[in-house]
Amino acid sequence: MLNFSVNEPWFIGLFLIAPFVLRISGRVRKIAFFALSAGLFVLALSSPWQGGITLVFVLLPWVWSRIGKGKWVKLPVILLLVLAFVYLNRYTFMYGFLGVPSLPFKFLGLSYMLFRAIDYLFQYPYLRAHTKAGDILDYINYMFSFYTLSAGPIARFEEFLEDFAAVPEPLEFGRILRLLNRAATGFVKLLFVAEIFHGFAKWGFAGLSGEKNHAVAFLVFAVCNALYIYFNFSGYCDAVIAFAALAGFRLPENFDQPWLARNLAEFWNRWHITLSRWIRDYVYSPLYKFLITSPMKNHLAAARILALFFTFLLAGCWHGATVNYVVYGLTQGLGVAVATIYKSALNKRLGKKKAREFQAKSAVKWIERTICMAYVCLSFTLIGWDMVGLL
Amino acid sequence: MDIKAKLQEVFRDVFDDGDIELRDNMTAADIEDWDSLAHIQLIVAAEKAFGVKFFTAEVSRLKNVGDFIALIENKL
Repeated sequence: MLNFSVNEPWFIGLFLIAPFVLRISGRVRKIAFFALSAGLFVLALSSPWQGGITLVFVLLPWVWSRIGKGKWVKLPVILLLVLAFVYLNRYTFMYGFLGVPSLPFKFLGLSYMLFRAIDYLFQYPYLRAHTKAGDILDYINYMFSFYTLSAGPIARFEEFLEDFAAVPEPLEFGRILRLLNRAATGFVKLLFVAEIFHGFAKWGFAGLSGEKNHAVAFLVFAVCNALYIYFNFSGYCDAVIAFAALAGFRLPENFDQPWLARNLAEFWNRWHITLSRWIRDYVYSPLYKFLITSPMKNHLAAARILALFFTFLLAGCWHGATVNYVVYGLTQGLGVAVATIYKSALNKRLGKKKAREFQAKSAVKWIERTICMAYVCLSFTLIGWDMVGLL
Repeated sequence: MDIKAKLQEVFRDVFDDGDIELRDNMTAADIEDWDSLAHIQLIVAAEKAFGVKFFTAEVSRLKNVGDFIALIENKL
């Protein structure tokens, strides 16, 4: 069974060969991409059942979008996909009380497939009306793209189609060097820098259950854990985006100097950008729109806060299958809600012009950035580490 | 009143700023308070003002004010 991870030597070899195979245009490219992505997915399967269930999960939205008509028709299938996702990704704290046993294998890339499937369901009626919905091969390529299967970035179906149909940008020598440099930087971040911070985070975490220096241990753990997550994920994104560009595919960027964020709302526009964009369009926006058009139309601020909490709660749950992630989601919702309240309170108290001048001050900028990063580090301690036994 | 002028009223109302002058190439970067949160209020206010409904797929692909005006024109 193939280990589907970008730092596997076979994956790096594939990334280097792919530009020679996929820098072609037209239907041949589509078929070659399908053969590569589907072939790799099959080789990475741990059981035929895993393959069959994934195929049903992926094909259901495609079939449904062709059968069902009307505004609300996608809701049942989205609900079905979410329930299947909860079960298949083993969210045992949500269904364990029913006594249902989990399946004995894990599913590759299911979290990202769920997001892509929902994007497709929302986009399909619009794309069909504009005769650019693509065919089944386009859809399968979108769902199983080996560049983004395991951890994103989350491209939109329309972006994917347009990018696939476009003639690949020519590769002159300078550009090849720049892209290889970015990929190499990505691997240095992923394999060395992230691992160093991982080591320090482990040391800090172990120190929390020791006798002395809890404060120092926690500080080291919190800061190094956040740095580990950043270097690991942004390193992966750098490598994947650069290698995809070498083969003529443009993947969306996922990071934009997150440490410059002055509040949690800005942070989520700079961190895992494609996820933020997705949850904004498919969770936050419809929910907020629903709330301010009917049940809470006279309570805009309360509707906003409620929609934020619910959105980040779901985003938190999507990140992982333990209660830690539920709390993590709520802390992000709280952070964004506080940022929203702070901004409107500042505008109310000082007036828009003076509030702008106040926030332009360098000291204010740095204080806000420090508080934001401290909050991020603190909330990230809930990711990947079980703090429950230590608190 | 043409679409642009009517939409300008919507913008002024949502952002509580009587000085906003809409241009076709105007984006969220040109209006300080135009974040993703305000964007939804803008969509809801525009739906009410023009008596139309926008779909998620239409709203998420708007790039600037010109796109927004074109979308409203198509709906009327």
